[in-house]
Amino acid sequence: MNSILSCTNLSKAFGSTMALKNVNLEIARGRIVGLLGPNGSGKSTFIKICNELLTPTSGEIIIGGFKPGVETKKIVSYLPEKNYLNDWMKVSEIINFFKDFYADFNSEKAYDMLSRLNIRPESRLKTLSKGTKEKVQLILVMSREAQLYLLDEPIGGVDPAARNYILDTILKNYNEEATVILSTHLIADIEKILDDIIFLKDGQVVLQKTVDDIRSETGKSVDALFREVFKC
Amino acid sequence: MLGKLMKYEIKATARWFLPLYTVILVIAAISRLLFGDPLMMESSGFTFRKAISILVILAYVILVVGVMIVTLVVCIIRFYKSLLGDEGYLMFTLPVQTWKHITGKLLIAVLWNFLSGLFACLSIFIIIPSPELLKIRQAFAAEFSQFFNFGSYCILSAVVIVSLVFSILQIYAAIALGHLFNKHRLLASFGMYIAINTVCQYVTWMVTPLLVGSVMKFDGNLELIVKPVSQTFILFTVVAAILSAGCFVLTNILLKKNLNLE
Repeated sequence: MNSILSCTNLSKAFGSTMALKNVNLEIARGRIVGLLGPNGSGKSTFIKICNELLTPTSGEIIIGGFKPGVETKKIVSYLPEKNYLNDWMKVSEIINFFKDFYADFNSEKAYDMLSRLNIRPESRLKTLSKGTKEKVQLILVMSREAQLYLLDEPIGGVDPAARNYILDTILKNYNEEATVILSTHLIADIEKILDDIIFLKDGQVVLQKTVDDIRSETGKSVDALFREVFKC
Repeated sequence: MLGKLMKYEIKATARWFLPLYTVILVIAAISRLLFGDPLMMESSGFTFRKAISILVILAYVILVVGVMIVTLVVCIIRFYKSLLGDEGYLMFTLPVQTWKHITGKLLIAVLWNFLSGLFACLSIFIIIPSPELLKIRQAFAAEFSQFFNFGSYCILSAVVIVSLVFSILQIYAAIALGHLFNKHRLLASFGMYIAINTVCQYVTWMVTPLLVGSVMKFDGNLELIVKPVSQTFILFTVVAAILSAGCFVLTNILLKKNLNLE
């Protein structure tokens, strides 16, 4: 089996609202996948279920042969849309924390990226701006040699100049076997790095295709197709 | 992994407790220097010095009670924020079993409660000079030594440890239950705590008729009361340990199977 992630009939309800409805997906290894959809379409919910932060109402999800749990957490590197850094820590301390808990964490890589982005390891996280904290989180997540990267809005809060560096970082820091799933609505910015796209609408998958197929079949960019599918 | 979690938990909480302990010791030292020994006062008559001494003792008691409350509150906040707040995104995506998170938090909470108690005692030694304290201890020992043997110290320690673990785990379970609600989770946790605590109190009180019965018959003869008291304590410890295990299992199931971080 070559898929890193597969889910069958996955549903999640919050009270009476359905955030995900019968989602069926197969995601192959070695791909960069854009999980695209408007706000509230279920992108974050899906990613959180993959990380066992939310419990599905029904259905099943398998990552690398396991249900979400300790085994999947060893191979999944997750960037949440929230800031989860402890303000009282220094950048170097949070790096040590990751090194302590993740066997696949590469601190050299982390320090290298920090210096590229001019972030001092001895700074306290409290003193960093919101955008800089997001960069630190992304560096932590991309410094792992994981099999699956789940990036929830990785470029939402950073300036356009840093965006390019971050996208390069994502491209450079994952190996051939690993898959990156990133959710965003800033499609134009990331379109060039995507292999596949998944369109989510009201908790349902409306389209799963390779970017090449979209271009050859419709002659449109992903951005243009997105605007068409999700026209308000 | 449990060791690493605990190491990290100590780092995260020490920045609250170390300053707190420093404050207790400094306040104790200052009051000793300013007002001398509060126990050394003239036996009769109201003097200014006596009034001050009483105030010092009163302020000190409030301080010690405050320290114990702060200790408990910090432990509760840590559990809530680091597992169910935004930091939960970090903690629950670590490749660590849920029960290790709970155990780590619990052990460190127990540690700080002990240290807070220890520092409270230490500060008594600072406020009251040791010869005086020794006299009190000797008087106490003379009265009780015949009933206090190694066994009763063991029972007492067990009661203290189990009660502490029990009260912390009740709070953890309440927070985990409150988390099941979609809205007003903090309020729900308070409600759940009242519910859990009521049930637990009811169950633990059922073991006490033994004690009540002998206290009713108490006629000043300590010897008669020692046996039923220690039996009650042992029974209480066993019941509290079972209920604690129940709270732990409940918390673990809820955080593992029903985690819903917003």
